[in-house]
Amino acid sequence: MTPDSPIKLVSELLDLPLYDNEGKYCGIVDDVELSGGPGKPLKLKALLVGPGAYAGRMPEWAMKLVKLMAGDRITRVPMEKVRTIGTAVHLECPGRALGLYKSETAAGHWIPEGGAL
Amino acid sequence: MNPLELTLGIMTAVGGFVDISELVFAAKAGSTFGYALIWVFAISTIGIIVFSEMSGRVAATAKQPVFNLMRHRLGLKLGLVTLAASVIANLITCAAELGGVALVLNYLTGAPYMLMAVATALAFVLSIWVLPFQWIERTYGLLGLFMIVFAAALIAIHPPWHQIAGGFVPHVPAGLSTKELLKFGYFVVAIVSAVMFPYEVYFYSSGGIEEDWGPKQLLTNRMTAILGMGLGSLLAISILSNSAQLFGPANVDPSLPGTAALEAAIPFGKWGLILALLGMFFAIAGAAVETCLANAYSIAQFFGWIWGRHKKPWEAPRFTITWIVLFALALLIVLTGVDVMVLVEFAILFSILVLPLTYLPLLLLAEDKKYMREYVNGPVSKTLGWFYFGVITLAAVAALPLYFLTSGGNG
Amino acid sequence: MRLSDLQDKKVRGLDGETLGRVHEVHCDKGIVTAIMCGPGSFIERLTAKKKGRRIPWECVRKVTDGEVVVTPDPPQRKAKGSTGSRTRQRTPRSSGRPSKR
Repeated sequence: MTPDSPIKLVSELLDLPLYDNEGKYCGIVDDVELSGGPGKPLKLKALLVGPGAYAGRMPEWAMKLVKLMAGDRITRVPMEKVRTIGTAVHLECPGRALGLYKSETAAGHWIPEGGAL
Repeated sequence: MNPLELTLGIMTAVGGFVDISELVFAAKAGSTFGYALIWVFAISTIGIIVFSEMSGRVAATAKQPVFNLMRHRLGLKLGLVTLAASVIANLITCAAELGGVALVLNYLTGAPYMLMAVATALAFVLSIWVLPFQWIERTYGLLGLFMIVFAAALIAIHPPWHQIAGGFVPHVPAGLSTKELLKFGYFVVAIVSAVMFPYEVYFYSSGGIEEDWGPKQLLTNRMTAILGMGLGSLLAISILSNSAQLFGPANVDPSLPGTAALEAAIPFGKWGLILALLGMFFAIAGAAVETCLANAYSIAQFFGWIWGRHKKPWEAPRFTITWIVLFALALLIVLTGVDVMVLVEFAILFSILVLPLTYLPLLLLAEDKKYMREYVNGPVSKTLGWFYFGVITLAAVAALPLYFLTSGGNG
Repeated sequence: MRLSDLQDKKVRGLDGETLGRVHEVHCDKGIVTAIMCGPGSFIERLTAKKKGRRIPWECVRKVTDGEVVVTPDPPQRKAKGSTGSRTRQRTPRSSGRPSKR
C-alpha cells in the first residue's frame, strides 16, 4: 500500500512501526496530522512520532507519567517521505534527515562505549 | 535447520524453565497435595508451549515483537495499561528472582544476604553489558542444566511411579475439606501463573527478533518450544514428586528454596546439595535476567525506542538505561528486606491478572493473515490457543478471591 | 487537526441523537473520505473487522474537543451556473411542452 491507497487510519496506520530507507527502525506512528476540517477536504499531511504526540490520546495525568519516562518530543514525518504502508511504514529517506534519532543520540551521551563483546 | 543450534536452543530452554516461583510452588504442591498437582504442571506447560511457539512464529513472520503489535491492536490507552501492569508484575518477579539468587548464594557461601543481592545485581548488569544476546541466554540456560540433579534424585529415591503417572490425570483429590479445596484451587492458579508468566512470551518473541528469525527458523522455534519446555517441565515435576515422597510424609513445609535443595542432598549427600544449589543459582539467575530484559523490551518497544542486545549497549542507549534502572529498582525492592517468598506470592498474583491482556492480542495476531501470511494459526494452534485463553481468564478471575480466602495458600 | 482529534470522539447528529464514537477514519488518495462510528470500537480494533456506521466526511459539520457533529445526508454538490436550489432541475425539452408535474 502507498499513502494514496485506500487506508483505514486507525487500524492500518496508527501505532505502526517506522523504518527508514536504510532499514533502520525509527519509532512508531504516534499520531497523524491532517489538514483541512469540516466542510473542507481533510488531507493526510504528516505522521507524528514521539511521546509528545500522545497528548491527544490519553488523559493529562497519564501524559505526565509518560513525560517523566519518555519525554515529550514530537518529530514530524511529511507524507511525501512515506514510500509504503503495510505491517510497517517504510520511508524513502534516512531517519536522521527527518530528525528521528535525536532522543537516542541525546541518551547516548550517558552510555560509555566499550566492554561489550 | 542447524542441529547444533537446535540442540543448544532446546537445552537452553530446559535449563531455563524453572524459576523461583516454580521451584517454590512445585515443592509446596508436592508436600501439601502429594502427586495430585502434577497434571496442572503438565497442562500449563502445554499452554506455555502453545503461546511461546505462537509468539516465536509471529516474531519470525511479522518481524515485529509482541509488544509492538500489542500496542497496535489494543490502542495506546489500553496498551499503556497492559504495559504498566506487566512492568509491575515483571519487576516484582525480577526482585523475587534476584532475592532468590542472593538466598542461594547465602546458602552456598555463608555471605550476608543483602551483600549477595548487591553483588548479584552488579554481576547481572555486567553479564548483560558484556555478553551478546545469544550468550546471555545460553550461559544461564545451559548452566541451569545442573537442575537435572533433581530428576536424578527422583530416580534414586525409587518413588511410586504408578502414583506419579496417576498424577498426570486431571483430578481433584477426594475427601478434601472446603478449606483444603480452596487451597488446592489456589495452588492450581499459582502453578498456571508460574508456568505461564508473561515475561516468558515477551522474552521469547523479542529473542526471536534478536536472533533475526525468519520463516526458515519456524521448525526450530516449534521444536525448541515443544522439546525445551516439555523437558524443562519434567524438572519441575521432579521437584514436586521429590517433595511428595520426602517432605509430605514428614510434614515438612518447603517454603524456603533451600529446603528444595535437600531433595538432592538426601539421596546424593554433599555433592547432590552443591549441584542442586548450583542448578538453582543459574536457573533463577537466568530468570532474573530474562524478567529484567523482558521489561526493558516491553518499554522500549511500546515507546518506539531502538532496542535489543544484538546491538551494543551504546547503540540502543535508552534501552540500556532502562534495563539498568530496572535492575536497580529490583535491587531496591530486595534491599527493603521484604521476604523473598512474599515477593514470589505477589509476582504470581500480578502476573496471572495480566495474562489475559498479554495473550489475547497475541492470539488474534497469530490468526491475522495480513501479518502471518501462510504461517497463520492452523486448527490445532487455534483450538489450543483459545482453550488456554479461557483457562488463564478463569484463573485470573479466581486468583484474587482464592488468595484472600486462603491467605496466600497458607491457611 | 490530528487523527486523535477524531478518534474515540462522540458522534452526534444535528438533532442531538448520539450515533456512537469514532473508531475508524477512512482515507483514499490521501484524503479522508469517511468516519466510522458505533458502539463496537474496541472489538473492531482488536479483530480488525468492519463494523459500525459509515459517515461520509462531507456530513461532518463540526469537530470540537469532545464530539463530532454530523448531518444525516451529504450536502448537495453545486453544479456550475445553478441557483443552488435543492430542487431538481428540469431537463429542457425542445418541444416546449410543459412537463406533467
